[in-house]
Amino acid sequence: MEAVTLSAKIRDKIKKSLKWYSYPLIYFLVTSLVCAYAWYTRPIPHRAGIKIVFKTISVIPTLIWIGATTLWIVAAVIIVGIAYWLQKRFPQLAIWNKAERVSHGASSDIKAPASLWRRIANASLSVLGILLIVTGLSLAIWISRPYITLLLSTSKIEALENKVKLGRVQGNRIIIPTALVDVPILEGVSIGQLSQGVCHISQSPSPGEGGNCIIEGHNLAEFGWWRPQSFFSMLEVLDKGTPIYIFYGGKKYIYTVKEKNYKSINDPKLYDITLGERLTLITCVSTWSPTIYTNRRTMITAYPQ
Amino acid sequence: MTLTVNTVNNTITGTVSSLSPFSIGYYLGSGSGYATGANTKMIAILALLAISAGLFILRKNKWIKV
Repeated sequence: MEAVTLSAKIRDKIKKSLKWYSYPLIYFLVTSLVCAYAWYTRPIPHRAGIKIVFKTISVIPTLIWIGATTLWIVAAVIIVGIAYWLQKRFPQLAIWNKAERVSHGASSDIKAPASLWRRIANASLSVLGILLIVTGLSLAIWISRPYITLLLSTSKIEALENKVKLGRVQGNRIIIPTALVDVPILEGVSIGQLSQGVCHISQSPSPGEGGNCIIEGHNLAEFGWWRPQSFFSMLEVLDKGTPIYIFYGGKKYIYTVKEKNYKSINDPKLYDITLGERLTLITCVSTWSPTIYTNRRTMITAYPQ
Repeated sequence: MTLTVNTVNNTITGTVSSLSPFSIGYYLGSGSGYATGANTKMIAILALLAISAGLFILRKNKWIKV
């Protein structure tokens, strides 16, 4: 039997693994095209959030995917190297004979018919595999839906701007056209209220009272790609100068975004009600900590026009 | 028990009339105390892991050839 050198094995492994890079590149191409479509089909003032969305859904995931693929290939090459060294060091081990047979297709000649239990196990594993893929896709659609909605809904932004111009708004409401926010403001925070609208923290002043009016809302709706997106899903796209419209107590208040910060929930500045007149919007921010719930918040500070 | 809130120094001082070995103090946080959503990055990683694991299992079971 012809001996295969280590370098040839590694070359073969890398050659076979290179195709895995095509998937992140295809993903990058598709998401870039969607972002480019959104960029060119909407007026210049509405383009501000597209860059942030492009970075969030296209650039960062592609880089992570390419990095993970590279790590995978490096790990595979190291394993090939270790296996080669072990084979040279301990050639008498039975595992090498089995591996050789498998690699030359000899195992198919001596394959016995699968038992009933074996077939049940295979079927169960297949069902598990399908379930995992469906679950993963559902999660992916769930979290990416707000971004997709924002990219493909140019007309909705214009509709919200018209609504603000006409001023036909009932009840207390916050409208941010560029972030697709059009939601009732509820008084006081509770789990139930947070699922129905954004909540004005009762201890903070109301709009027009001259203090720091604090409003918080969810960044992600309850699980389900079929459910409407959450109220502050796209707060991330707000940039300096973006207008925020508040309809409160029958009056219209216009604020302009000045700052966007990320703070810990324990930071006293996050809910500081002693500050001067401004509007503070708060929602959860994603982090790399391995938890589903996060203790960091996106904090948007806006001042009256 | 009486509480004094000092917003200049960000301190809360409590005074009690008697001591109890069973009293427990804990920090409530400065905000409303409600979670306002979830960590989408971790959910994205979970989604990617689930899809990868599913593809791996189906590939091992000869359902798909990648």
